[in-house]
Amino acid sequence: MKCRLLRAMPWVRRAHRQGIAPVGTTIDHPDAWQLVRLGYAESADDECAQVANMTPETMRLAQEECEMRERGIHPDDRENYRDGKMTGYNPDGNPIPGPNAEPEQEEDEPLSFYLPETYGE
Amino acid sequence: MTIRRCKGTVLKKGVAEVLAAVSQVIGIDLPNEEAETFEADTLDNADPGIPYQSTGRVEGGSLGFELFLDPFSHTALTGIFDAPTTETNWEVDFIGGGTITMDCAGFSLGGTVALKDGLKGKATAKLTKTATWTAGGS
Repeated sequence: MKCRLLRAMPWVRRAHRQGIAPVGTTIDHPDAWQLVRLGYAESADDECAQVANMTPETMRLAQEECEMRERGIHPDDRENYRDGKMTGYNPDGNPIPGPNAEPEQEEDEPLSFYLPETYGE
Repeated sequence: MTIRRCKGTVLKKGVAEVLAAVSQVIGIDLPNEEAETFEADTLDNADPGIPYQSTGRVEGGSLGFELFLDPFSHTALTGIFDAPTTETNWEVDFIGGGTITMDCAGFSLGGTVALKDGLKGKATAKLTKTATWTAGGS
């Protein structure tokens, strides 16, 4: 059963192979259908397509889900990610602003508690 | 030295020889590795303290994690029981860099169905040998 990778992925470390499998790598493995189901790959033979059993719409959703999974997007933040308000997380855990991020609001000027000199005259 | 945040950490599992991220993970229990010791006390030991010595072996411990379980999508987890003798490969990618990789020999997966919560699963994988820590990032 064969699939073709749609994104670069790290190989499971083996004595004979490690590093990154580039986009387009064909994987021949009994579990290849799972990579298709997870959105990482497309079917490269009829057997894989039959077992994965994906429609174009479920493929699109799986690939979108895959992108968020790889970026470690928390379930609570997925709507913001889909809306382009964030693209991931900084090392400090704060979201990286996306193209549709709301601009930071400027702080209001502090209220003055000093009364004008003319007060009470 | 930095205090790392956990949000954005990714758990990956080997699927068809490549590492794929596990979706909807809520929390990860890293393996509690232990350098094994034995009690090395003798009758003629005058010291009240109980002496221990290292056996030179390391108990790898287990990797645990909790997730919102989707039986349709989490086939890479539920499918482990179809081939239970196959070793599984795992990696945790920390936000800001650094990884821990593990090969596991055993696996358990359970779940909780509750009215006021989403369908949750809890899994544990027993390490074979020890984990490999890789430094990286800030």
